[in-house]
Amino acid sequence: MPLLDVKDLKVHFHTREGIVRAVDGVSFSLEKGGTLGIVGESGSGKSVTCYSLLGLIPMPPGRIEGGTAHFDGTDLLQLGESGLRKVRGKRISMIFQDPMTCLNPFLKIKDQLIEPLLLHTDTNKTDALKEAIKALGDVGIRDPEKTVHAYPHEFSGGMRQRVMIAMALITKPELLIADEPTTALDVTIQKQVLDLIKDRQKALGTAVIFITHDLAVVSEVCDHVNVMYAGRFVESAPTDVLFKSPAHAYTRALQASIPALQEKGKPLYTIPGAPPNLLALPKGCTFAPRAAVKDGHLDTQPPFAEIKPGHFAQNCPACLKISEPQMSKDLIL
Amino acid sequence: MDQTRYILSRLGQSLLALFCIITITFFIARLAPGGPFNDDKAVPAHIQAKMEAYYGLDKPLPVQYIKYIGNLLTGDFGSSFGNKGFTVAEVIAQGAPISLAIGLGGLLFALAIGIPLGTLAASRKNTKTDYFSMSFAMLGICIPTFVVGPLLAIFFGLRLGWFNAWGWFQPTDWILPSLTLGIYYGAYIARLTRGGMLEILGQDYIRTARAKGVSQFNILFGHAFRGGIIPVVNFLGPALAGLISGSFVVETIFGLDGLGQHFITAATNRDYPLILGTVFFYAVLIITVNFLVDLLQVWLNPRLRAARA
Ligand SMILES: Nc1ncnc2c1ncn2[C@@H]1O[C@H](COP(=O)(O)OP(=O)(O)OP(=O)(O)O)[C@@H](O)[C@H]1O
Ligand SMILES: [Mg+2]
Repeated sequence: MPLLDVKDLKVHFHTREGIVRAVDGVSFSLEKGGTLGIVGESGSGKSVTCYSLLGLIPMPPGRIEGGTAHFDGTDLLQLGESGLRKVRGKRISMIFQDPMTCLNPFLKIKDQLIEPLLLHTDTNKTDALKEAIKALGDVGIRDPEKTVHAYPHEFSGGMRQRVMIAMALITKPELLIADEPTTALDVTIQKQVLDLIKDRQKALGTAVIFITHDLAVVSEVCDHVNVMYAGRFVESAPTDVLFKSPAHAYTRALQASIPALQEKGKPLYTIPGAPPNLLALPKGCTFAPRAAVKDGHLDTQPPFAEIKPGHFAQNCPACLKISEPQMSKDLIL
Repeated sequence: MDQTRYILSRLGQSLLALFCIITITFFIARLAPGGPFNDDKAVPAHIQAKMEAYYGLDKPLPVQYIKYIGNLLTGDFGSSFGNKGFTVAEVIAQGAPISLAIGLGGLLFALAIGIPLGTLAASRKNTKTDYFSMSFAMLGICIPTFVVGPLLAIFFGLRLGWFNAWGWFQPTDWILPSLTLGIYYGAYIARLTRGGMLEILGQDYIRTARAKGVSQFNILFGHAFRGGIIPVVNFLGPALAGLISGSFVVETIFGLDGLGQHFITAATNRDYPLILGTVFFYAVLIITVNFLVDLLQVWLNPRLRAARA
């Protein structure tokens, strides 16, 4: 039985302008200790997918329209606020994009660090403080006995993200959801933080869902990748398969836009156009307007199908068509 | 060490401010037409001149000013013209406790009404509870104290008979005047609290707290409150000033012989020493309160604390 099994999750926002279909029928599963990547452009629904599992989207305007999310046998979507509170920070933890704003500036590091322990275990304050100091040491913060008494503003961004990681993992959760944990950090720090997450994951056996819009990050940490576009998954495959033989036109376009893989001296490739308006999604294939191949897109919603064993993709014939010359055009264009 | 230096420099600034306030008040009071002995019933000119000479009012203004400041430095506020036989210090000592009691009581009510109401409204944003609380706050701000006061006096004083509707006889007599003031300032504080709390509740670190499994109650009071009441703390200085010095209307409604009363009568009667004495008293009070509020702000906000160190 997988640790987390999400089926046909639908999360919509009922706004004044209409219904925003932020997540529209998403399914995935994750084994104990595994690492799953969710990639996609800004606004594709990556964060909403994960926040809705823990009941962290504002309701209203948000509403979970359907689906199930079985975590170790219980459906998170049916748990309700008080049930979810016992899961949050205890069995499933989160870290977020911007470490500068995610720690409470009014509270000392120690108070924020020990809070999950005090809430979810029967550790007393003295022992919790000892654990907090150890946790800070584990994420590579120097002089933890002293820094534990500091306030967040005394730390740099990279340091704060380390504190966030220490705080998320202090209860040894079974699942860590990392929502673009390196996006706001500068490049040299990014690598360190990624390595730290991998390292802690190995030490604690935690499963990780890694949200990012950077395919390069995914290739470094994930076993399996889901590519998200306009509230749906367009492709899902083991990481090496996805990189060696991407099936969907959007995945290929994302890959083509990794700067490091592009030819030097040429202008950088970016995907033309913008993601579709979630208020008025096209009936058929949502990637059609931006695809290089213009003809032959489905005008009904393409099914998410297993195109090869273990390799799923949104089955729109035009998006899946790879003729050699077109692929190189896609890649270097 | 830095703390001592900061406090000393604040003290210096305060003394300078106090000096300016006294000087300006002294000359403005004298520039206003009329004088203490221009009564309705005509006083013979030679008697008026004699009285003015007796009080030193016949000397040139700068001479009087220097003499006044000199006396002030020895702690002598002079005698009241209007309250015959009383020194200014005695008049203030009689009125101040009443004004302070209803002012502080008013603040107590204001905080007790405003902070819970605003926090409740913020935590239930855009629900009926929110709309109801904020409508109530709007009413509290819009209805003037000279309407609220008599209504409270009629209801709690005359109808229910719980309190005296008038006067300063019993230990409970501060309650109705304070409540009158407290409703107005409480309404204002409710709106400030709601705004401050909403601002903080929208921050990323509140989402972090929720993701840790913190309950709504602890989110409100453990994580959001310190930041959320900063606008209220900033308002405390002006609020206390208004509560204590602006209690004239309420003192009139409830027939209290407070400092607000003395201040207004002193101004209309051109009772120069009493005008200056009350202004001096209010100024010291407001400066002190602002200083305490500053300390409170620094204490609440670790980033300010770091900047100060
Ligand atoms: N409270 C909300 N009200 C209305 N729409 C919302 C709300 N929260 C999110 N959305 C919409 O849901 C969609 C998905 O948002 P989400 O934050 O999941 O994107 P994302 O893939 O995480 O993007 P990013 O890379 O920018 O974090 C967006 O189009 C956004 O406008
Ligand atoms: Mg996001």
